[in-house]
Amino acid sequence: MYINKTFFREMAKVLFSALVTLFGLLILTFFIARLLPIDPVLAVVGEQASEAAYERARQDLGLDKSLFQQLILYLQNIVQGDLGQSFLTRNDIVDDLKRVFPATIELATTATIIGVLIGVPLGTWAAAKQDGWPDHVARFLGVLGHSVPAFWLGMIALLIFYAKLGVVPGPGRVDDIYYGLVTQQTGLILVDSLMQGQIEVFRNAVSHLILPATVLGIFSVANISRMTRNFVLAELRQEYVTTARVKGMDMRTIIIRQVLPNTFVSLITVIALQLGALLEGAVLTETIFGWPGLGLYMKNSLLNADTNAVLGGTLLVGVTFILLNTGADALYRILDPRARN
Amino acid sequence: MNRSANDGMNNLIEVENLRVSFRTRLGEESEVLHGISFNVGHEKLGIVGESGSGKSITARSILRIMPPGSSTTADSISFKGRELTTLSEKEMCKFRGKHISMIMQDPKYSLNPTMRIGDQIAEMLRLHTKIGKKEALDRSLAALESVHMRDPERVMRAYPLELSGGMGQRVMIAMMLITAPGLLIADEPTSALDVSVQLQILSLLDELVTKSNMGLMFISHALHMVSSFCDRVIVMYKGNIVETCAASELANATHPYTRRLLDATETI
Repeated sequence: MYINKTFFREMAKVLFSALVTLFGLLILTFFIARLLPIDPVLAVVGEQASEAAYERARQDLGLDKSLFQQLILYLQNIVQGDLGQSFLTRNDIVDDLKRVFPATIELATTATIIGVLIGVPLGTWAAAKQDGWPDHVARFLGVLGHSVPAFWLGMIALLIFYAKLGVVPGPGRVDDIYYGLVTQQTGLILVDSLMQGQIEVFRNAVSHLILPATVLGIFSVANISRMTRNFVLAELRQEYVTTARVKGMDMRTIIIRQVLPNTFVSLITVIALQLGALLEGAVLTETIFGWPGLGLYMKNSLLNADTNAVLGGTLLVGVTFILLNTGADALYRILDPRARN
Repeated sequence: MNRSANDGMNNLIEVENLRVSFRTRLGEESEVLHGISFNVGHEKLGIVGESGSGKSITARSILRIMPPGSSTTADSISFKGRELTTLSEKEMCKFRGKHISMIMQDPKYSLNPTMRIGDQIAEMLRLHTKIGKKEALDRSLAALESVHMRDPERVMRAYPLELSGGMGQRVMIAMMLITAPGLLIADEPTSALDVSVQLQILSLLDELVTKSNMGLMFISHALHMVSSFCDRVIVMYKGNIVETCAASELANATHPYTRRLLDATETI
């Protein structure tokens, strides 16, 4: 750890650029909402509304004001944590997101953990035995991950493990009989059920999670192992590896003690982006597995032209991405002495 | 040929018929070292030759740290009478660094950028001796003092890129000599340094090699530097040794390639 004046200045820079990006995102979502060929007033009052009712709703929504005033209003609302209401259900968008996002977090995080736990060792092994069989396994998985669509893999997995073998339960996060046994605290069923001592529910939730997480995890493994392999190979070409060999260290120890730590910095960025991509809501995977997460929510909102819901979701995805990126950036500056000068 | 300086039992390392070849992309074998034999005693032996003449390959094949795709054969490589060609990779790991170590061209790249200097030196010691971390660090600090490092306490905690080239090379020397090896290979140790710093590093090497009576294999393309710094010189050309002589007699060398090298230096 290396904390001094330069460090704080760097951190301030990172934070500042995150804020600028965030502001850009807000402006973008605002204008997308105004450019969409959907009349939000009509969505609120319905097709058969009278002229007067239409005009009243228009004024309620603030759409008679100038574009600039609307933007200010929009920003004010967001600062107060108000993303508007769903046209479809009248729910507050914020409440909807609070309900669906934890499901996605649970799925995405588990998939990413699978990706890291298998991908990093596999990629390292592939690099150490370049053109040996671990390398071929990694390459095969890489090709699989890049060429096989998620919906196909998901359906095949369901066909085999649910329909034929019956070893995993069907759609959703828990079986219907367990539904409502756990009160929402963090929203992550795995965590909530453990905190409330509901081991049954926890087991059931794990069995529900395992198949979609593995399907998504395969894509994670493909990406992370390929990147790890490249990073390790690049490090192995560095002269300090020769120094370590001259010192009398064996290759295994060199890779574990010197090479891998030097790739962590680049890996953190890859892993953060990977997690970010999954947190957008794996629309196809969530749809196939009936997983009530952000992807499924966004898909349904899109099909119903629920502008507020879509924009709220977009904003959430954007903010998540900015946070992850900023976190990775900050971590990189803390961990790597090369980034400090 | 003048080999009177190191005859018989005084040799640290004896190399016989060392051959190295690389497999090309087309699958053909291409020999880059054509069966050279030489020995190094308790002396400063210079190895000169143009780029690609096989100087570095010679050093690296002795330490067996060759890149993949290469193959090395030798009738014998023996260090203080111990045959190295028959050692397993595991035994070789215990040997490297303890008996023969090497410093490289540019300390900017040869030190691990994310490890503190002190840890890198201590690591060398802990690979070959059974001592605790605290003691290893203490001895590392002493090693930095022995290479006349200014402000050694600060350097212990520093990362490589906080050091100048000359300081980095001092760190490499301190690290590579901390196990008191019998032979040090210096592969172009001054080529990446400023001219003023080059002389300091040379005189440091000279001081330490003389003090501990070890052997030094000094690889360089700078003929004038080798002739004034070393005791004996081997001239390599296209994977062969073309001349071996005392450094003082280099000016009277007879081989046409050596003459051309000397002439080239003089005209500059």
